[in-house]
Amino acid sequence: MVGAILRSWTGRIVIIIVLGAVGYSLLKIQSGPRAIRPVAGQVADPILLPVIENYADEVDANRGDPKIRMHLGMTYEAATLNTLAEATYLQFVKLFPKRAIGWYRLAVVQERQGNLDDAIFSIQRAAEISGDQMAAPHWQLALWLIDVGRIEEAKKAANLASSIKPNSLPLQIANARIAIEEGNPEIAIELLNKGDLISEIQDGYVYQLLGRAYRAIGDEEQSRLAWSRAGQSKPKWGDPWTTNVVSHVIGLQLKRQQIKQFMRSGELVSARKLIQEYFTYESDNVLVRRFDAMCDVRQGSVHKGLQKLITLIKEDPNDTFSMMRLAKSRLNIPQLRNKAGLEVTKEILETVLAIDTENGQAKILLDDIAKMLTPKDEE
Amino acid sequence: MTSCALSCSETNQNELHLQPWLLNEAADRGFEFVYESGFDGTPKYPEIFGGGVALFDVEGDGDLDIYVVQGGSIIGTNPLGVTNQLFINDGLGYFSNATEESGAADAGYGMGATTGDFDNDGDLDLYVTNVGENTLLRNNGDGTFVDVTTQAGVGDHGWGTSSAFFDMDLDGDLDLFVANYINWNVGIERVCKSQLGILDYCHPNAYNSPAKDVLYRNNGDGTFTDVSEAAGFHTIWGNGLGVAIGDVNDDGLPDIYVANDEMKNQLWINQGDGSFVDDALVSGVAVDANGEPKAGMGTDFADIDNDGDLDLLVVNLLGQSDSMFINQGGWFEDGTPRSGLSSITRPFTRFGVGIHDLNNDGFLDLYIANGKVLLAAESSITDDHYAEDNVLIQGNMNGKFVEVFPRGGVAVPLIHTSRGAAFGDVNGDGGIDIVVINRDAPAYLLMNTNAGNGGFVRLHLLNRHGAPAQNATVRFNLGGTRIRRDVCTSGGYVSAHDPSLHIGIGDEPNITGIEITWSDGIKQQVENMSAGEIRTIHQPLGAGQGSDPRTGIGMKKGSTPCEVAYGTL
Repeated sequence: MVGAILRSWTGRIVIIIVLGAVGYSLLKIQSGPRAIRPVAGQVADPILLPVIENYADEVDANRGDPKIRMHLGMTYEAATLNTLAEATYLQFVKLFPKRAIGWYRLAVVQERQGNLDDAIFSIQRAAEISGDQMAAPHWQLALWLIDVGRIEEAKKAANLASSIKPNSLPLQIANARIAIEEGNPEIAIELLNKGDLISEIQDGYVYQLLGRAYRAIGDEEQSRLAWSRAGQSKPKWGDPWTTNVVSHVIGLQLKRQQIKQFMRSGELVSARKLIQEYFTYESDNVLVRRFDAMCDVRQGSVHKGLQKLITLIKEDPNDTFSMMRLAKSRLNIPQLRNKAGLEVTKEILETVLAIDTENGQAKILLDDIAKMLTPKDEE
Repeated sequence: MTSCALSCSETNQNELHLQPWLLNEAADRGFEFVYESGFDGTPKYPEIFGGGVALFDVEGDGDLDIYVVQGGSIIGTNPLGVTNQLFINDGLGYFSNATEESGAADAGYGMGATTGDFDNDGDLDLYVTNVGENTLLRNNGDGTFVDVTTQAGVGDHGWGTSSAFFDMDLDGDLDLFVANYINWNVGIERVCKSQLGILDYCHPNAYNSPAKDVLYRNNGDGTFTDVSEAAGFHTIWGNGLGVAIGDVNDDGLPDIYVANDEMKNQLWINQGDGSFVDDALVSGVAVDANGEPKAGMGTDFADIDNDGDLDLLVVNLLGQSDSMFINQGGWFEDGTPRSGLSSITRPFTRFGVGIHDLNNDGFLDLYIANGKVLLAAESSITDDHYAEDNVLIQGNMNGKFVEVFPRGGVAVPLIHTSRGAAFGDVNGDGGIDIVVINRDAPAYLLMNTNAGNGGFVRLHLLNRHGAPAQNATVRFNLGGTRIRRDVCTSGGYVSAHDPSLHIGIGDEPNITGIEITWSDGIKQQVENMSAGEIRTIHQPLGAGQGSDPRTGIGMKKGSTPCEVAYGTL
């Protein structure tokens, strides 16, 4: 049977095609540059570094695999290792130039590093590739083009975004900004007041633009009103892959944030567990040691907690944060609210003020202590 | 490494500007100075912000001398033993260190300096901002100074950054505004690390301690009164770094703009009764067109679009574009996107800035001194991981700006952590030169080699005491355009500049229709000026005035209302 196939021309051709396809696939898997890796010492985080190394090893083993290389890029991006992320995404777009995700991520890290022209170039590629399948590259392109004054191009990008998803928040903002830039503040005011735009966008951002638009039509009163409601930041628009990138946030910083959240929400058992895990990586972190001390205090091991704070202060006599923690903890403990105890707390707060003369909290607490120390009949 | 490198084939417009404009001749010209930050391995916040420089005529010999502020060590009382330095110009742009015996060697941890004739004796005095007590140095006019801080009552103890002399109440003497950054002392220093885990400088928000700025009113007798609270400056605090003075609403009263780091900027409108009101938000200069407060560093006013009113430039942090606010008659539009500046400056952290015609073509250009404040993830090509190139940006007829290459306008790259920059023609060749201070690296003295491309005129406007007439305004016609220029020693970042008005005129033979508006509101028409002409004009006495009513001082001895000199260039 095999001999018959090999003897026939058709059989030989089929075999050549099959072998070629297999070879091409194997070649494709192994083709592509090696992973971008940090230089020695560039990443010190003991949790992040092994994750990066694992991804990089996987990339080297599967150089034609887009998914692994994207994971590596997103890990760098999430850790704000922008140059490593950019280099990785550049590899990605060379290998897979028809994938919008590569160009989009590349644009984001380029913009983050201040290279707006490069970012616009990259997001334009993302927009071309995604065509009418995705609005985000188009409105993102529009917003960046507005930033560099290329209003006609921005309008085209906004129109394309509109044809895909007509009512997205960033698109409405882009249209309002285009109207302001084109000297049509009335149109901008109409757009910005439409629907629930004001409430849907965080931190009074819409009022920023309304203030500017009202000023442009000469309505100073409305402008002042709008500005008085405006916040101090602009929104960070999510894109189709924001969640993916966020899921790549790995490392000690993330753990510190989680501990802080647990402490704030009173989930002390979870906080304690994470603190212990954290100390296996970095036992001398002052912030986490403070959390550890506060966890002790709040879990009832008051003496142990206060001692930990005192140790921190002994190590750094200028550590006003630990001093304030210590003072506040002492004020919350009934046994230490007697005259002698209050005198000690007062001394701690006075030390804080000697170091940080503008510390408002210390001043307030000292006032409180003064009232507590004043005999009632003197009041 | 850019995506453009993959497939961009069009010619970069910037490649057209390949002739260096500037040449660093600091060492050859005897100007050797290193700003010592005092960094000892453990970052302390002020170390990343200094320092500044003042370019002014110390001894009245007609050339520009250099005064540089020094850091030292932020801990202890100057264990490094370094002080501020004075370099005297020989008239040809060569300098000798004249600090010894000058009385100008202030030993505070210096941030910056500004100049102004606070005592109306005809020469420019010095105000030095420090981390700690600031210093007022009265100029004796002979190359020596006397520290009069205590008697003058201007030794604010905050972290002073940029400052400016100006006549807030138009009473004929110069008042003083001082921006403070944050309430800092060694005790509240925080431990911050870069994303690489290396000890690094903190973000200002880590201290959460914006400071109050200070306004001193000149009492006319060599003393000042702190009027900050009464004037309204204690209502809003900020992380002040840059200060610019200018009459933005053309009501004859100088206003104050303060660039704040990562906070809304402030535009203090002078109410004429000794008080100021912050109108930055409604005026459109608190945040950018996108509603974002930026990390404002250096700032300055200038009539950038040549429409007769003062526009405003603020330079910001890496990732944030500069803000070029265009005056629309008392309020401002963010003209940055249309200016072309958005993408030029974003990759840098900008501090010192000057808006001057550096190639004498009649259009204002920009020079920006850069250097990071936080360690970057990538390794640096120099040992200094905060170092960056500076940038030179050419202004064009259509209001657009394009970057000049080679980068920074210099043939050999100069990459350090640059901070203050001062502007003036130090060798009298008709081109604006630039002094740049670098953190822990030699300062630059950038000699202009590109000024011969166009003609220029220069105006020295002097007040009735013979000192530069701060905040006087000149309007003139140049090739059919009505242009405005203002006399001001302050602006930029922690530095002071030559107050003479250097006006590039390109191929035009002259400027015409010259009208001066003096700080007291008196307008004066003067004769046309021809290319190459350098003219000194004294402020005329007001109606009924034979002398200054308060001091009895008339015109500076031996001067005439209008001295004319022609450049021999």
